[in-house]
This record gives sequence, C-alpha cells and structure tokens, in this order.
Amino acid sequence: MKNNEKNDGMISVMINICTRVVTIIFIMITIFRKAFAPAGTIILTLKDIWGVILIGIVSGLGFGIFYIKKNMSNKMLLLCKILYFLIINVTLCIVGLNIGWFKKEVSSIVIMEVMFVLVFFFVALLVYFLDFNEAKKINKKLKDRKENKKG
Amino acid sequence: MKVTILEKKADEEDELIVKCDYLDESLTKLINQFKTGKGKMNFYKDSKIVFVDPEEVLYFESVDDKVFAYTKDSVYETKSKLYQLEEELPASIFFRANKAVIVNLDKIDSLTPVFGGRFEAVLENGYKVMISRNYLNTLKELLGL
Repeated sequence: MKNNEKNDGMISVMINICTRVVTIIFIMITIFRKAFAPAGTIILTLKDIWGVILIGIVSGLGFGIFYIKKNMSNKMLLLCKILYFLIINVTLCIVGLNIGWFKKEVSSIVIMEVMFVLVFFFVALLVYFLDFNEAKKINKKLKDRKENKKG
Repeated sequence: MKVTILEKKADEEDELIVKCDYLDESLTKLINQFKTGKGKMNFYKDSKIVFVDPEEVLYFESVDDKVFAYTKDSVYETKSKLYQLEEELPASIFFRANKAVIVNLDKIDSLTPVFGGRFEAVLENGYKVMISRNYLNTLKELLGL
C-alpha cells in the first residue's frame, strides 16, 4: 500500500515536471518569435510539437531518477544534476537535429543552447519557488503546533 | 494476548505476572518497558545503559548498521533497528525523514527547500536533517496539511 502511494507520488511528480517543461518551452518559443523572428518565419508543425513533448517526457523521467534516490550526499546530488542536464541536452540535440530546429552551424547551436539553459534554469527556479511556498505552509503549521503545545 | 487484571490486597505490592511459553523479543521489550518505567528508552553510552525519555530525542540516525539517538547534548547508541523504532515510537511525533533518519517533529524549528527537490529541517539545536520528497507527505499529514 505504502509502496503504491510512493509510486503514485513519483508518477505525479514526473508528469508535473513534464508539463512544466513543455509549457515553458512553448512560452520561450512564443517570446523568442515575438522578440527576434519576423512574423511567419517560425511555424510550429506537428513534428515540432512531438519533439517538445518528447523533451518534456525525458525531463520528467530524468527527474524521477532523482526522486527515487532518497539518500544522496551533496556530491552525488551535484553529479546527478549534471547528468540530468546532459541527458536533456543530448535529447534536445538529437531531436533538434532530426526535426531541423537548428543546423549544424555554431551560431545555430549556440542560440539553441542559450534557450535550453534558460528553460532549464526557469524550471529549476519554478520548482524551488513552489517548494519555498510549501515550506512556508509547513513552517506555519509547525509554529501553530508549538504554540498549541505551550498553551 | 489475554489480559487479566486482579485486585490486590491492601498490604500487597503492585505485581505484573507474565504467563507464556517463552520470552520472545516483543515480550522482552514490553517487560523492559515496565522495568524502566515511564516509557523511557534504553540507550547505550560508553558501555553503560542510559534511560532517556523519547521526547528528548531530536532524531535517530542509522550509520554503518548502527543506530544513534541524538539529544540536545548527547549522542547515544540504540540496539533497535530504524524500522523497529519506526513501529515503537509514537507516530504522532516521530516520522521518517529519509532512508537513514527518523525525526522528532516537535524538535523541528523550521524547514527550508534545497535545490534538487529536497527539504532541510533545522532542529532546535541547529542540527540540519534532510527530508526526502518521498517522506514529505508523511510530515504534511502529521501537520494536517
């Protein structure tokens, strides 16, 4: 029963991360299109949408790997973060080159990498702020509990 | 298990009689609890047995197959395994924070998020304990969230 609950929790976190990544990629594409690309030069096809979803799925699965590891030292955690970053980056390169998001040119790869780093840190920041909010609620409850015990 | 309570004579001392085939682990623990009294736990420090109120314990940690109990001023060793402690300790106060640690909820001062989806609990004496996301729900349930 407890294991099932843990698995459900893990799947829900993986879906959550997948959804966030997909949403932020679309937001980034929209901002990039509006700011840098003339109208009509960036058109999203069904293939592109599948590519974005695939990156979202890999991000969710990758996060699941962190989620399973319960007791990591700070060194291990850093190593896992680097691995996670590299796995998504490699997925992006394979998907991007196959779909034609970027050419085998330095400038094209640099632009794609900049966008990738921005999305990656946006998601990390978002997760941190959501956790911060959760910690705030828990701290309030802890304070109430202590006050109730005193009174 | 059958429990029989008999009325004693006025001049008699309180007495607990255990009627069994043999003393298994759980019965021994129960008898020890009665012997030590007041629900105190027996820990070891410098080869001596010490009785400590579980509510004084900040957290229990498993290190290299040994389990230690940390209080405000001391560290004790306990012969119980972490999973046994999890069953014995009051579930309304103690919860599993990660694979190797059980924390006393009443000794947590605050909680802060750490990058990587984990939380860090700062205890009353400034000790820091990692809380895995897997076990965060237990903490939230205990607090009614």
